[in-house]
Amino acid sequence: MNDTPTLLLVIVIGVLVTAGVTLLLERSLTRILLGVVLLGNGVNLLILSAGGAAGGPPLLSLTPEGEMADPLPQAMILTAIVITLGVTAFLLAMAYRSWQLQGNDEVQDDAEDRRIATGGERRRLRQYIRAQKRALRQAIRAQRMELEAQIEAQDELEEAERAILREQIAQARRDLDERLEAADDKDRERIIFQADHAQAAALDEAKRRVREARKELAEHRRADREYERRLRRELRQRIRAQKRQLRASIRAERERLARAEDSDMQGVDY
Amino acid sequence: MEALLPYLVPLPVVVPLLAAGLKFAIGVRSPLLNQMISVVALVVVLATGGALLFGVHAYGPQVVQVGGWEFPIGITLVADRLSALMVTVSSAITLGVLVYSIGQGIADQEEATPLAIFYPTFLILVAGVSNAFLTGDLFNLYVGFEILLTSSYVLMTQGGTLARIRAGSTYVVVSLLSSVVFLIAIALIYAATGTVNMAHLALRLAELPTELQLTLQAILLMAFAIKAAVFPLSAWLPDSYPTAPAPVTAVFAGLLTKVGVYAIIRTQTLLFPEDSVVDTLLLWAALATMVIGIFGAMAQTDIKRMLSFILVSHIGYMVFGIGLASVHGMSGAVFYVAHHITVQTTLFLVAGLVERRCGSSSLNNVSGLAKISPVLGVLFFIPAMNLAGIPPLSGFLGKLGLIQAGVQDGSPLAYLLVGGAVATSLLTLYSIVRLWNYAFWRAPEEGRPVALGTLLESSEDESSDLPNGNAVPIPAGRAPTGIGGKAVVTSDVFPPLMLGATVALVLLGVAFTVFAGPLINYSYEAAVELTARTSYLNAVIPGGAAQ
Repeated sequence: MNDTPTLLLVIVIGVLVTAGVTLLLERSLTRILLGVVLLGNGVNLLILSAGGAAGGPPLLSLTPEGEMADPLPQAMILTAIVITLGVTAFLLAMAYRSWQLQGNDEVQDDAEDRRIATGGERRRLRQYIRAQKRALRQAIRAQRMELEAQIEAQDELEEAERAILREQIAQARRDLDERLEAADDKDRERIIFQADHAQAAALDEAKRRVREARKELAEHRRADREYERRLRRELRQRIRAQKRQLRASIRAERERLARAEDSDMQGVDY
Repeated sequence: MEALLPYLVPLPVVVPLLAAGLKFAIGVRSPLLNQMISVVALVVVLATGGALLFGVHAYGPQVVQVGGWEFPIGITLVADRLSALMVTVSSAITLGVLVYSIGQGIADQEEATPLAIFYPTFLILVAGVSNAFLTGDLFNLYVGFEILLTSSYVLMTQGGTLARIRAGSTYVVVSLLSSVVFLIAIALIYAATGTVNMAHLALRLAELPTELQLTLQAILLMAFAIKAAVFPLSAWLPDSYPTAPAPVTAVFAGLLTKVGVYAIIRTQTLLFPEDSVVDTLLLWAALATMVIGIFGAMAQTDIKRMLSFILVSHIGYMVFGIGLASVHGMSGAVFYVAHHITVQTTLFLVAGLVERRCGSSSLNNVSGLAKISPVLGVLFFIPAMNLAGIPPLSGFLGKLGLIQAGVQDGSPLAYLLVGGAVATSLLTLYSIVRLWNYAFWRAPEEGRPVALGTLLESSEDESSDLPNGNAVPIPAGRAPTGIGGKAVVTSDVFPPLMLGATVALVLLGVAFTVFAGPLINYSYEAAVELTARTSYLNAVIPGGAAQ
């Protein structure tokens, strides 16, 4: 018996499968359905050709044994046809239901897929916010450093003033000593008394200035602290406002995505 | 006893089919009777599976020539160790899911129309799965696939809501494509060998030229890889599974992909046992499946989708074991399949309970569950840790077995896969912990929990009297829907049947750990049987494989 199937059958199989695969790649369920039918028929013919060349009906009394066609592929095709029939009916029902629900039978993208894909947008937003926060923090650090430098300069100035004062006091004491040494005993008492007066006045003056300087310093420090605190509060407020803005934008984004998932708007491109 | 064993082999296929027919005849007239029939049918299947498990272990593979047609003309049903194990585990799972869905149906008051279709279809699905596991005939395997796929189309699009029709379209088209590829492979194999009996093919395929063998093997594996969701062909799974009702997703995730894995095991051991370039290809595919799947899971914010991606990723472990093409690799793969069916199903059922408690399965909305519902915490924690492979649970043992097999193989590629497997396990733990932190440990206020007892009106539900776009707390199409497509009613008391079924499956997962010793021995012997082939061929071919 000739085992080779006809060339025509092979060509028909090729055409059917090609057309079937092309239609299967469409988005419309009806076209996919047609593709499935064509593809199924192509494969059925492939099974038929697998049985070899045509022969007589495989009945014992009718055909001599050598000329029978192979009955098994035909049985298999019958099964495959029944299955394709059922699935075709099911696909038709699904296409109809799809049309009933949304007015067309196109297969849409998965909403969750789209949501996770657009998660990239949210990530970009987060990155932008993070960069802003970083810039803010840098500015604060710079301001604080400037402030500290100012305080330090003030401190140095005060230190210098105090040194001058100390120098003056020392000078006065040295003068006194010189005069005491130069004068006799009678004068000494007077000088001491006078010097005491002068010195006390100078000392009082110096003490007063030191006190003033200290007060000024304390004032300064308090002002600095106040300033710093205000600066920090401002920073916090700015960060909070930015976070709020961020959250609002994320919420808006989510709502947009939720809307995108809405069945009525599914398939609308943004 | 031994003489009776062959009579048990067709039962897992016949009993659910008969029960389904009976249920269609009864219709909606007696819901209680309906439910009883389903449960009894599946209990019978489970008992049969158990009997086969022990019988096959003691007396070797059991064979039935359907209709009394002799080999190689008729259709052969064969139960060897692998088949018996798969039938037993799958029927235990389907029984659990059936009880769960009965509970859910009662809770959602959907006894009428949708459920009258749901239960028989579910039974037909079980029949298809059993048929795929037990058949010794390539074309009958195709028929088994079609039975389970067609009923899965119906289950997936139950209720006909927009989201389900969309997800169902992807699923149906991809499944159809894989069926067509499978049919092409069958046609080519028949043209090359003149038979579709698997034992007969095992002898005849070896006589073909190597290139032709490789072509046939590649086409067959392509078809099965789509069904098993192996990496380049896995994109359809996370897209379509999460929208189905919780019990349906659970049984799909647990079983349907594993049927594909089972078919790959059969192809690689029985039909094409020679080492070839395909094994290397499978190992690369396994690596890509594991790593890319788990990266997908890390990005998800929906519990069901995250679990779907983890499912894809863990298919990689099984393919890893198969690709090693050694007894140890195969034994690891068999054990992992059995373990993974149980754990994955349980987790999806727990996700269903989360939906019932919180009205959503999105991590944006779910929070504070550890405080609100500690029971749910325990039910989630055990299988989740099992999935991540924390010792001493069975997930750890399965992964350890596979890693040992990889080290034993010793090739650089095997070591690369061992590294990939460890990394995937770690990343699974990361995903699970992230889920746990969000859903269970976060303060309850941080999410957006829905008030208890509210009906999440889905705007696409046409049967409702409310106008579309009514005040919806969760975007339309995202609200969890029950079996019939109606929105789930949230409550803080779980229906006892749902809770009981979940607890039972969690305990089954724990039992895999407790009885890990005998199970690993059993899967090792199954692997020896698979790689040796002689007992299978001797059982099916009269006069033995020497013929």
